[in-house]
Amino acid sequence: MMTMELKRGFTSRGFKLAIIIGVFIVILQYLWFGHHTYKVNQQELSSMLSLEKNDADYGWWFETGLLEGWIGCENYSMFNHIYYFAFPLIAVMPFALSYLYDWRSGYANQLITRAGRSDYHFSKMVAVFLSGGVSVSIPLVVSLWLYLMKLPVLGIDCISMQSVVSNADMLSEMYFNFPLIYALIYIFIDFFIGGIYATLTLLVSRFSENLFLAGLSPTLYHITLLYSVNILLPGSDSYNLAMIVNPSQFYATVSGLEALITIVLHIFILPLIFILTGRQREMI
Amino acid sequence: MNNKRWLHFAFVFLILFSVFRIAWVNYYAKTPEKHLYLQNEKIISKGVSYSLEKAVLWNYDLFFDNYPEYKEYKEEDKVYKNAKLLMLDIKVEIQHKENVFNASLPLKYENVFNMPDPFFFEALNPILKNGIHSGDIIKLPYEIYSINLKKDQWRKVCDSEMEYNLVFSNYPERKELRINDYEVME
Repeated sequence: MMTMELKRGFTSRGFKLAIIIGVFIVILQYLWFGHHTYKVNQQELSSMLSLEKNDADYGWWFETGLLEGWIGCENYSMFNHIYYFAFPLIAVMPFALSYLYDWRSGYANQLITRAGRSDYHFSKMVAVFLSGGVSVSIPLVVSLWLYLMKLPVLGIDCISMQSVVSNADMLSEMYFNFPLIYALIYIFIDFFIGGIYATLTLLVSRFSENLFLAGLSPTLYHITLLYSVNILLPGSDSYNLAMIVNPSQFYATVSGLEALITIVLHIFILPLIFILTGRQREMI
Repeated sequence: MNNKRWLHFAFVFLILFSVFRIAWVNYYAKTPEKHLYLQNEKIISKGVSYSLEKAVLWNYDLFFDNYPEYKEYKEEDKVYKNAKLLMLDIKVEIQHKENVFNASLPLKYENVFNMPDPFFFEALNPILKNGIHSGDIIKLPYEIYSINLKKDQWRKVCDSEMEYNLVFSNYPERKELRINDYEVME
C-alpha cells in the first residue's frame, strides 16, 4: 500500500506541475541575478581596480558568494518572496488533494476494503508528507546547484553589507562561515515545512469536501501566520512556521531550539489529529 | 534500452561537468591576500600609517558619566540598553604626499561590524578641523550593543575576551589590525 501511494504521489501530474512552477521561478531568479547583481559586482571590481591605489574607494570590493545568489537568501529581486508565497501551494499540488479525490471516486473504499483503514491512512499521510516536502525542496536544490556552478562557496563578510541574516539570528555561524551547509540545512528544514503544509490539506480534507478550501488552507494558514500572527504576537517568530520557512530570516528573530520544537510539534500533532478523527468516522 | 543508456550517459556527464565547474569556480575565486597585524604593529594604508596607542573598553553609561560634554551622542533608546564603548586612540603619520585618511574604519567582531558615529567622532576630534597632520592622535569610538550579539558572544564582550579587528581594506589585499589587549573601565 505504501509503495503504491508513494508511486502515485511522485508520478502525479500535480508533482510534475509543482516542480515545473518551482524550477521556473528559480530559473527566472537566476537570470535576473546574473544580469542585475553578478554583472554589477564584476563591473564594480573592474572600476575599483582601475582607481589609484590611494583612492578612498580602492580596496573596498567583496566577491559575491554562494548565498548571495541562492534563491533562499537573495532578496534584491522579488523571486524569494514569490517562491515563499507560492511555497504552500507547491507543497499541496503533488498529492495532498488525492484523499478527497479517492473518496469522491470511490477508490478509497476499494483500497480500505483490501488493505484496511489504518494502513490506507498511514500510507496516504506518508506519501502526502514526502511528496509535499520533496516538491518544495527540488527547486531549492536546483537553485543551489546552479549557483554552485556560478559563485564560489565563500562565507559572507558582514562588512560587505550584503548579508540578509544577522549575527544574532538562527544558524548565523553557518550562514557567515559555511554557506553550503547553511543552504543544505535550510533545504532540510523546508522539506519538513513543505510536508507539514501538505499534511494540513489532508487534515482539512477530513472536515470539508470543498477542494478549494482544502487546497488553499495551507496558503491561508501561511498568510495568517505571516501577516497577522506576526504582528499581533510580536516575539513569537520562533513558533511561527511562516517566519521559520524563509532562509533569509526576513525581519524574523528565530531561535533554533524553539523553531525545532515548533516543526516537531506540527509533524506530530497534524497526523495525530488526522488519525484520531479518522477513527470516529466511517467515511466522508 | 538505447534511450536508457543515453540517459545514464547524460547523467554521468552532468555530474562530471558540475564537479569540474564547481572546482573551477572555487579555484578562481577572488579571495584577497590576507594580512593580519598585531596590536603593536603599524599599518600603512593609502599613504597614511596608523598605530594603536590605547584601547579602552568602557561601560557605555560610565563613559558618558565621566564625559558629560558628549552626552548628546549617547544612544538613549531602551533597545540599546546593554552596551559598551570601545575607544581607540590611533596615532596617524603621513607617509606619502598623496594620501587618504580613513576616519570610518569598520571594526569587526564575530559577524558584526561597527563604524564610528560621524558626529560623535567629529566632537571627539576637534584637531581635525585644521586637517590631518603627522603625529595627530585620533579618537575612534565604537559602540558595541548586546542586541547585535548572541548571549555567549555578549558574555565574551563583558569578560573582555572578545577580539576586535579593525579593517583597512578588503581586496585585493585584506588588512586587519587585531585588538585583543585593552583596558576595561567598568
